[in-house]
Amino acid sequence: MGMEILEFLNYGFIRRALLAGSLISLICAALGVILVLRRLSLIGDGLSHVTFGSVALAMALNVYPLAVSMPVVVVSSLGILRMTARAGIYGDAAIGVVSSVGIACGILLASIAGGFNVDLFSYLFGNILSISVSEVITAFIVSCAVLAAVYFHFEEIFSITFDEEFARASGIPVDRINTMIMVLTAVTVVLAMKVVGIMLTSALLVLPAVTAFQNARGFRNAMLVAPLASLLSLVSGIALSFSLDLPAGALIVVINFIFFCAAFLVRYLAGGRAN
Amino acid sequence: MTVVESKNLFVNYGALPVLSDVNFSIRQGDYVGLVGPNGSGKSTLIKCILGLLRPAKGSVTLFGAESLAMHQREKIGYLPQRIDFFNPRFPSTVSEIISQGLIANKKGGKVHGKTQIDVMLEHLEISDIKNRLIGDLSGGQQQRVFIARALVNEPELLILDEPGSALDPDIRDNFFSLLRALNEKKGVTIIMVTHDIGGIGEYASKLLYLDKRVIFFGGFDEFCRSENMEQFFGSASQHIICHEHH
Repeated sequence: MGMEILEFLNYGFIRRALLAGSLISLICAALGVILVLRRLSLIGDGLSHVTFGSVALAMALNVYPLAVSMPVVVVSSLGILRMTARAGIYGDAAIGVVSSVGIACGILLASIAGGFNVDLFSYLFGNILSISVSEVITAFIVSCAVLAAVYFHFEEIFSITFDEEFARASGIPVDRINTMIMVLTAVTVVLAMKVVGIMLTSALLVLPAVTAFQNARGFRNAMLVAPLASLLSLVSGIALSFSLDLPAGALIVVINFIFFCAAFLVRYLAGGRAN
Repeated sequence: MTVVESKNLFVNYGALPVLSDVNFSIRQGDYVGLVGPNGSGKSTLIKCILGLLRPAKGSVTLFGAESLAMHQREKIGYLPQRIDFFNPRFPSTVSEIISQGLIANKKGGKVHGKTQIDVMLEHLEISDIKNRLIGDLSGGQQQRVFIARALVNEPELLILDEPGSALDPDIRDNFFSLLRALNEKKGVTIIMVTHDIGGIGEYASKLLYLDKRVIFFGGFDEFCRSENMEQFFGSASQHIICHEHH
């Protein structure tokens, strides 16, 4: 199997899939740690539903989907932030509102445009092997932005995530950093759509994070373990999809889940905080 | 030097007035006990001092400024009222949490001050748990971690919202001795919200009694001589405070 995989590396589309997929899986996991701890786990689901709506809009307008999805999903993520802060509703409810409106708009637009077609379904389930060179470049730019933001604002992000009131009292620009995290999450979710599809995007955000939390010995430690687990799932998922001729996106998610089960088992056997 | 000054401060929650025309001035080295009944606006006042709440009218200045930049916030140490605010499964070690007290002087994306953290761990007798996760600790241990976070940056102003509530008697005494030493030897200004009117007279030099407005602000001697305080405190409470003070 090893030789087979190495052979596949000769193909440009495989290399693009591995490169872009690895970058996207890394940033999904890093953002996932922050989002899960802030009880915003379902934001991936919510924003990916908006992505569905925006892809339907792009297809109805016959324009490149990412060009429409990026701004629409970024605005929606800021809408969630505003609703939570200003309308006095909890994050999960705000995500629910944006998510359902996203899906409803998608269905309406798809219907107006003549019904669901193969292209729209390909976005629902993802196709990492169809990633283009321009999407690889976009993934690279976005990944650099996310990783730089997390690295340079690591302490502020930790402080806000753990204790927002203390963070504000310390003079941390909490609103600015929250906005930054939401925008980066929105852009990442749009990119993740190409890897695992709209239906499974939140898995890339949530599963590596909860895997890391099973045995993490600190926040910094969780921020290292989650991307590592995510990266391993991505690479092994793509490799297995070649060998078994199964969809890569679904395999990546299943392998992520297997890692979670293994981490839970380790914690359980070690008599850790399993409760 | 004036450290905290409140001028004609009004705060409302919606249409409900919480603080009305609050005026006081706290000087460097003051040790102020902030007392008052439930719902009297103590925590609201603390939030205004910290800049977490915007007043409807009036102002609160810290070190002469209405707002402080992040690097100037290193002068302030803050211990919130509740210690059960956080997710108990948050994967964070004691050291990581204490280091957050040093965030105002972060350089190059990182917080520095390992020595300061170690000293604080030792002061509060929690060196042995520095690598443990916060959620695995008892309430008293967690309280000490948050106290360490408030003290680690060697603040000039320390704002404590009911700090002794979860501590064992021994640890509590050590902690109050540490506060007294910081106040007397280093001139740290302390504002402490408390319901322990029996204990506050033992430590604080001034009393700020709040009930949506300032009922009394001044030294303990003045308070103990004041006859009209009985209507607010009841004679027993006033007696307890003054007895401990002397």
